[in-house]
Parts: sequence; structure tokens; C-alpha cells
Amino acid sequence: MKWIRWPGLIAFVASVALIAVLWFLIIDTLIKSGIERGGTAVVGAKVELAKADLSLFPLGLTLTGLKVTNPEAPMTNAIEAKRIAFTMDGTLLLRRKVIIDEMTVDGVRLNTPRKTSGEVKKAPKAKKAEKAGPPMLTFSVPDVKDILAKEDLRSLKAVTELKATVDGAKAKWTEELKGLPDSKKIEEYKKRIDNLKASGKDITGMAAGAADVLKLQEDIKKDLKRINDFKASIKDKADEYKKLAKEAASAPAKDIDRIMKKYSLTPEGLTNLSRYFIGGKLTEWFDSSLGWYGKAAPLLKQARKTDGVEVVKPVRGRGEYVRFKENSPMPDFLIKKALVSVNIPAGDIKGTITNITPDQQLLGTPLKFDFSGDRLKGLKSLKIAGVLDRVVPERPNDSVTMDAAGVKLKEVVLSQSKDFPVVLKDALTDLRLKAAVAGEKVDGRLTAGLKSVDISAGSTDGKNALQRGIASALSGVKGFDVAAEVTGTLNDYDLKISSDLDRVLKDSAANVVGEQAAEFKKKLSAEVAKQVDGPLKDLNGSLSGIDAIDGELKGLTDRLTGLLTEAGKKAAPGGFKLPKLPF
Amino acid sequence: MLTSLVKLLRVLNSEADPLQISLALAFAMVIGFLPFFSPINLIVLLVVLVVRVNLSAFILGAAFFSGIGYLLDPLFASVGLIALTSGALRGLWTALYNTTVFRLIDFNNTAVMGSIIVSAALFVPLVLVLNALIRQYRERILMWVEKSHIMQVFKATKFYKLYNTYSDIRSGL
Repeated sequence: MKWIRWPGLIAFVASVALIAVLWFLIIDTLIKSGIERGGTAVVGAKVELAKADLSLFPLGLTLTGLKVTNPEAPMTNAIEAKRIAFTMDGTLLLRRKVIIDEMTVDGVRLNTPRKTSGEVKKAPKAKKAEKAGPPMLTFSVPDVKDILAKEDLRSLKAVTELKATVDGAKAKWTEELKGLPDSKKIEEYKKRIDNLKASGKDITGMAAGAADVLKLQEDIKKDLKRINDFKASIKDKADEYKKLAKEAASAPAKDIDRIMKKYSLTPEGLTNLSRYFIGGKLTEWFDSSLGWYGKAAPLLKQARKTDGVEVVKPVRGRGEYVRFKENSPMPDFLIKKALVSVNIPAGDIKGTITNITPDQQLLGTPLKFDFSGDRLKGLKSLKIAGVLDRVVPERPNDSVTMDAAGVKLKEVVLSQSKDFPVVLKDALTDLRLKAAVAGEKVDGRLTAGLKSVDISAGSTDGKNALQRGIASALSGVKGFDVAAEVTGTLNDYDLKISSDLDRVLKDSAANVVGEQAAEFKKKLSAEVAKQVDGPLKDLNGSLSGIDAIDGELKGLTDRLTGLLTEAGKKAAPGGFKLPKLPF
Repeated sequence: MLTSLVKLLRVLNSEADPLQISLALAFAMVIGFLPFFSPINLIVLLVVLVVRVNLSAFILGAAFFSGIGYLLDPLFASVGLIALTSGALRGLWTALYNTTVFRLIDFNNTAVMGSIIVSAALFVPLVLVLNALIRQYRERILMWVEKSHIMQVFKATKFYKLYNTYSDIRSGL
């Protein structure tokens, strides 16, 4: 039996040719649906492609009509590209390496409207904590009663506590006072003096009386000492209580100041008023920019290790791919140079992006982009350049600079507040942005000088004086500078805005705000006084009780001192003095 | 299912060399175990078409072993992973990894490597065992079945008539 059948070879060739023809017929459709499916999965919104065209000689691909929906606004395409064309290295493609020397991306347009929604059903995401925007201006005097219902009055607490302490001390001292000589004792001393007066008529009586006088004087002095000791012991405490009472009396004023700072727009608070108007828009722009950065960053995430054995799970299909060290390591995917033409309403800006690859550590050079445009409509010149550096994947370091000169701003809504809408109707500005993201840390600065400004703000004949003041000031502004600094992390950044607009606003609104603050302070003071005055009066009453004790002690001392003097007179009757002995 | 069984019986009962049938089934095992789009399948197809093996047995076997391969996929992946991550073989794999042809056949995919190893290991034993079984079937079982009462009853069934009809049509082609 013959083991070889040559017709089988013909059948094989015919089968392979048939497969090749079928593959070539459907490959464009497969590529198109692959890009749409893969792109939609990555972006989280519909990615559509009008046509994909694969050419074999030279090996290349042309994509036409690419539309990428903005997942945050499904009726808008974030990016549209008219035509993307590139050729690939066929030999390297056999080794699963997509290496594109040069890619041309023409007719890129941003934020174009869609006819149908590009939303795709997706698993509900955990809601990101909303970043607090700038505080809202209420332009009204806050309700004092509402505020005091929420706020603890420290002065009231201090007064109540001090009164309790004073009352406790007063009760203790009153009790101790009972142990000191009283009127009965003083009457007793008087009786003893009278007895001594009656007994000292003869010389024998005088001699015996002298001893009794000395004894009486000693007893009185002892009692005087007890009283004086007690007086001294309560004096320090009483003085301290009086001092605290004085402080407590001034505490309501401190409460008023504290609450004023917290709830009232003070003239000092106007120093950063521009944040109310510009902060919202800038926060919106930064959030949007960081959102797209967050979407783009994973595409550059390290795809593989540089050496050794690595097991990599495939996106789909069976098994896993094990990688080994390559003799000449090359990225699996690399676009060496992309020539991009972006069509913005102002005109075309052109630029290049180099080294697009998720394996920057293999290539050793970061992705760089550089775009510029001149003589644009409503924009004199624009230059954007940046680096996305993942050469050391553990230390990503990205940066961007943007210079835009002669930017004409029209109808930019700065505040959508119903009470106080602010629209930048016209302005001419030069913008400069410099931002860097190192890991999670973000650090950026935007400066803008606005000229020929026309702002429409609220109403100049509204009821609120503050609104009228600010509206009038803003409508008179012809130019100002703004600087915004972003620091912190990508998920939690802090936006600081400074502008010489603040000075203008402060000058115009300070008087009105001052009046409002005074009105608020008057109401607050009255309400605080209503709450604190009663307890403060009680405290003073308690302190008066301490004074009464002191007075009583003073009376006792005077009376005992008088008795002591009287007893001394008894010891030397006749009223003459004995001369002092010289020994 | 019934037609497939008819085809199998026809192949087994035909005059074809048992080695042609067993080789066809062994190649079918290779193609069935490997992922469908593996370029190695093209080489196997070339061999099957050029070498005079039984094509009916190959087609039937490919369908059968594809099902088995689907079930054994985790086993192939495990075997492939062990082989590809073996320290002793790293030099070999690294050399192959740097070769375009081997990268093209996805040898570094665990499922591909696992199915290559398993089918290579089973190829010769399967040919020998199937060869022996077919011979035994023809020499003993087929003769015994032909004479058995069951077969006599079976020959009176619709299935047998279908088998004969199919056989006649095929013979007439």
C-alpha cells in the first residue's frame, strides 16, 4: 500500500488558500468589532469605528471614523478621529510584537455632539466622594436663634460652674464661721471687764485684778488670732473667685467674636472672595483633566517584567502566557511616533507623540508629546508639551506645560447660582499651566492675566446690598490676574486661588459686609446677654455672700480689738502712764 | 449521533488498514487537544492529507477528541505551566522564545504546551493500542457478532437497514 497521497497536498493547499481568502474577507470586520469591543470595555462608553482596512503589502492598517464617547456625557464624543493610518513590521508581528514606526492621526476633534447616546450598561460604581466646592455665598444675615441652638455658649458654662464653686465655698465658710467667737462670747468678755472694774477698788483687789486682766487679754488675743487666721485663709480664695467672676463677665464677648467668625462674612473674610466665583470653574476643569489622566494612565501601566520568567494571563482565550528573557528586549506594543492633527474650534493644532508603549522600562525612554498651533481663531498661539514617564514603573513621573497666548474667552459661566449668576462675557487672556504628577502626588500652577474683561454678575438693583455691591464692582472690572495652585493627591487635591480681583471685591463690599456683620453682632449680643446675664447676676449674688462673711469677720475683729483696749485700760486705771524701767 | 456511529462501524468494518485508522485517530487526538486556532493544527492537517490515513476516522476522532480536550483543558494548562516554569528547561524555552517560528506557534502558552506534551506522550501508545484493538475487533468480535443471536435480531432493525443503505450509497459513489 502506498502511504503517500499527493492529491492530499493539493487539497491542503486549496484548504489553506480557502481559509486565507475567507480570513482576508472577514479580517476587516473582525478588526473593526475587536476595536469597538475592546475600546468600549476600556473607556466605559461606546467606541465606534466606521471602517477598518488591513493591507498586506506593506502590512498596515487604516481606521476611518473613530468615535469615542465621553462616559461622563454619553451624548458627546470625547474624541473623534477622521483617519488613523499606520504600517507595521510584519516579521516582528509574527513574534507577537506590534511595532509601529509612524502613525498618522488626522482630523481629531474633541467634545463633538452625538446623535445617539453612547452609554453602555455597566456595573454600578462606588460613588466617589464628592469634592467640596467653594462655599456658597448666601448674602443674608444668619438667624441668631438657629445658631445658638447649635452652638454651646462657653461663657454660660463658665459662669454656671463658677457660681456652683462659689456657693460651695460660701456654705463651707459659713459653717466654719459658726465655730468662731460670736456676740455671746463678746458679751461674756464685756461682763468679765465689768467685774474687773468692780473688783479693783483696793490694793489687794488691784493685785488680783491684774492677773485677771492679763488672762482676759490673752483670751481675747487668742480669739482675735483665730478670726484673723480664718480671714487670711478665705482671702486668697475669695480674691481668686472675684478674678474668675471678672473673667466670666467678659466671656460672652469672646463667645460673640467666635460665633461671628464662624457664621458671618466679615470684612476680613472678603480677602479670598474670588474663590467663590473662579474656584467652581477651575475645580470643574481640574476634575475633568484628572479624570482623563486617570483613564489614560492605566494604558501606560507596566505590562511585563524586564527579565526572568513571568506568567501573564491573557485577556481572553485559554491558558496563560509564560514570558522568557529576550535577547533583544522590545515592547510588545510600540508606536514610535504618532503625527496627530487636532481640529479644535479655533483651528488645527498639530503635534507629535513619541514612544507610546506600556513597556517604557524596556524602551528606556518616556512618552513625550508636543503640540502647537499658531494664528488660530480666538487664540493667538497654543503650545502644549509633556512627558509621561514610567521608565521606572515604581516611580511614575508625569508633567505637562501649556502656554496659550491671546485666548479670547466668551460667555464663560463662573457661577450658576440662581441668586447670583456670574458670567465672563468677554476677556482676553494669556494662560500658563505647569503641572506635575509624581505617583499619586499632584502639584500644579495655573496663571492667567485677563484683559478687556466684561463681567455680568447678578443684578445691580437687587434687594441685597451685598449682591448689589459685588455686582457693581465686578461689572467695573476691566482686568485682573488669577493664580491657581493645586497640591495634594490625585483623589484629594487642594485648590488655592489668588487674584487681585479680591482687592476690588473687598473695597466694594467691605462696607456692606461691615453693616451686615454689625447687625448680626447686635442680634447675637442681645441673645447671648439674654442667656448669660441671669446666671451672671446670680454669680455676683454669691460673691456678695462672700463679702458678707468678710464683713462679719471684720465686725468681730473690731469689737474684740475694742474689748482688748478696754481691758488694757483696766490694768492701768487713772489714765497715767508708768515710765519704762531701765532694766 | 446515529450517523456518526454508522460511520465509525463502517470504518472499523472496512478493508482499511488498522494502522491507517489508528494513526488517523492519533492525529485527531493531537488536533482535538490543541487550541483550535493553533498553527500546529495546519501542520497536522497537512500530514493527515498527505499521509494515507483514514480521513473518516480522522474527522470522527477530531470531533471526539475536541470534546475530551475541552474537558481536559485545566489539566493541559497545569502540565504546560509545570513544563514552562521548570528551572531545568529554562535555557531551552528561552532559546525557543527568541525564535520567530516557535513564538508563532504559541509554544509559551500553557494550554498549547500542555496539550503538545500530553498528545506527544499518548501518540505512540494510542496508535499501538488502537491498532491492536482494531485487529482484535475484526478477527474476533466482528466474526462473533456477525454470528450472534443479537446480531441476527439487530440485522432486522431499522438501524441496520439504514447502515446498509448508507453503505450501498457510499459503495456506489
